[in-house]
Amino acid sequence: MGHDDVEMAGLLQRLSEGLQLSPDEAIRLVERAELPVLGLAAREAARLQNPEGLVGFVVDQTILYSNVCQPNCPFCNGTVTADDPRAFTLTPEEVVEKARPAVAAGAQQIILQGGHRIDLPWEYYLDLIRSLKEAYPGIAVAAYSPTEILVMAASFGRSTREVMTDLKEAGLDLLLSGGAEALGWLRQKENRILLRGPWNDWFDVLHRAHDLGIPVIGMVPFGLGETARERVGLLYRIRAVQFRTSRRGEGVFRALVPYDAGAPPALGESLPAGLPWPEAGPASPSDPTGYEYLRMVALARLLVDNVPRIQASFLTQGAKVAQVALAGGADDFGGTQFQCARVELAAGRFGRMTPEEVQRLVRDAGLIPARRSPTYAILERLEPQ
Amino acid sequence: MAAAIEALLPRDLYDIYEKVMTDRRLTAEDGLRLLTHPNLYAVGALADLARHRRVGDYVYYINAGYINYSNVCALHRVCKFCAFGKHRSDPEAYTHTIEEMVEKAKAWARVGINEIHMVGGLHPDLPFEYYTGFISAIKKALPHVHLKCFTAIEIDFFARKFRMSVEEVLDRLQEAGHGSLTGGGIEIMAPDVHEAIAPGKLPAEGYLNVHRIAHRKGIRSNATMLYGHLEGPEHIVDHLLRLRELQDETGGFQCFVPLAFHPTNTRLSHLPGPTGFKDLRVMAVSRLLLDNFKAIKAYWVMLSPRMTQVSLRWGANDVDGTIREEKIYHFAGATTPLEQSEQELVRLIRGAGLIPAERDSYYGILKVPA
Repeated sequence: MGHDDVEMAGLLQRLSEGLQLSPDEAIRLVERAELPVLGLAAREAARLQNPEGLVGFVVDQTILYSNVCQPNCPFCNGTVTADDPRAFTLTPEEVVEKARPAVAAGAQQIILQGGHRIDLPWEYYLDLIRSLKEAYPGIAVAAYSPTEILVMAASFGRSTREVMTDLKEAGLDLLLSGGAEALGWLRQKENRILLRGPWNDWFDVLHRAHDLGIPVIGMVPFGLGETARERVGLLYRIRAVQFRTSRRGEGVFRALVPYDAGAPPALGESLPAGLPWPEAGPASPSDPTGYEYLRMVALARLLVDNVPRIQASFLTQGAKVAQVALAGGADDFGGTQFQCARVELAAGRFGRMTPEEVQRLVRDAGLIPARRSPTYAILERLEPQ
Repeated sequence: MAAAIEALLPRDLYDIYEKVMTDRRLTAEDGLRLLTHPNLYAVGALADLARHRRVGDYVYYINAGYINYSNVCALHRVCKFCAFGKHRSDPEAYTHTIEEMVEKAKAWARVGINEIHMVGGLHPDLPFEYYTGFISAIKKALPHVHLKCFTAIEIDFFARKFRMSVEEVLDRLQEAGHGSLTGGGIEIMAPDVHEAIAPGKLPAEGYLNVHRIAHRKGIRSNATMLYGHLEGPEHIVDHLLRLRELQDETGGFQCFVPLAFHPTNTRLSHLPGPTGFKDLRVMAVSRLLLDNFKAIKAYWVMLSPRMTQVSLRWGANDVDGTIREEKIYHFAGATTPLEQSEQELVRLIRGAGLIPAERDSYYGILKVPA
């Protein structure tokens, strides 16, 4: 305890001053640092990035266009194979209709989520984006992850550059870096497309995205049985990509979103009054990962000092833990109807939070709520009435 | 962790850090400053340090059952924060028979419990023999199980209704097999808030007096506070310091439980309920001010398992237990599960970097799971 304590104090002090750690030091931090001190240091690091204490949020809607997926990742229990009776795939017209209520309610962004599959025509992926853009001019569309891009490139016989150029032309605004694949964890999995040199391919997609002007939201999964070394590996690779893409202007990552990929969703967690989780199944008492989630928020803020925002995830953690995240490294509340990752969607998770409720929680945390664009530009500071 | 805390703590909390490190008592002013300090992690780190120094790294749980014997309550129109109490004619009103309670207790005994927690409404019609009856019947069926029954409000109610002194009520309950008192029933002690949320209900002095009498008889009890409704930080500090004072006098409190208000289905349902910040600030300040309490409890039924786990680093060192069939918070819209397996509680505690320990009703360690 004594020796550890002094070492952790030194590492955290350096981080809170904006200095960086060697990979070995970072691994020791991930292995040993306890939440209270990590949060204290991460708060200082967040203040270096965001001295005014602004917390952005966006009004958005996630749409699951298909539940069919190839890789059958063991942590995802909701996707099915194409021949399963529960399989569905929405047409572009159906996706447009699904988005209508959210757009009418002021959604600034639609997030499309689906599985990895090779049996849909290439035009389908483009049409999903084009139809939304035509129906709702001005809406931002966030869709597809690096692995989906790789699957598309491989199955349609195109280069990643061609695939991404076409998606950009169709109107893609933001890419979601899925992340689980990036942990190196899927190296053991069967799917040959995902097996092949994931890091090189991952770097490649992110650099292409940057060249084309498509910013990326970096999902940071944890809780999949990964080692401290693998966690640092993911965070330091994100930092390296950001460093290289920041040479000319803004780096490719706009924000990082730590999320617990291993746990069932926070159904049944306490929510503010009047905001039930519709469709909530029986509460799962298993895997209460609030502690590890908050550690991961702090670690992401401390170890990746060049991505501007860390986004709290009320959908995976509930409103209370998400608010606490704002005290120790996070400075964005995400989308009010954001249903972020495939794992959560697959588990039947639907959550909502009104902009007013987000504002109340941010102010209660002593911070300033701000309406932002889907690409994380602050549009309006929301001062108390 | 002290070195890291010392390095990172904001300057304006250094005096409190010094007090914690030298075991000096915090003042009301310190409590107010902590409850309103913007740096939630700094407040948590101080509470975590105090917890570690004062009571170590064990986090306690108990294998226990929970029976709300009746929800019929003479105060059902009085307590605005309560969704549980009902008039006897309400279709949702219920009163368990002694036989039902014995059957329930026996079923739990088969899965292994050491304690049953029993509280209910202030029922206008039941005879005193009902209460002594269910205690002695359960005790007879399960002699080794500790019966933690009744709030101070119920004890005071029995004394008035059955024209006995509080001493006499406690003596007769103890003869029947009663073990210790629960801590509920006071919400917030400050008179103006108490009057606003429960006009005419037994005030702080009455609540504290029942506990004082019980402690003098060697009966242990818990204490609670309901927060997140109409109270301000000054009322929370006042409540904690009154408890600290009685504990200095008697030493009879075992555990303090801050209870998060759940507004759903209450007459205060227009309120939003406490935020995560409020939950953790109250937990931390409870630990820091109540330097003479061994246990500060994060009650997972109302906090949710996730917030309970986080609370363990904001001063809590008890997660309650494997409660079955909790009703009071579930009438108020709690969506948390009705029970936690021992394995889940152990995992929750370990996940926060602390050591799980199964306890008995007096905080003796029964088992430290391997």
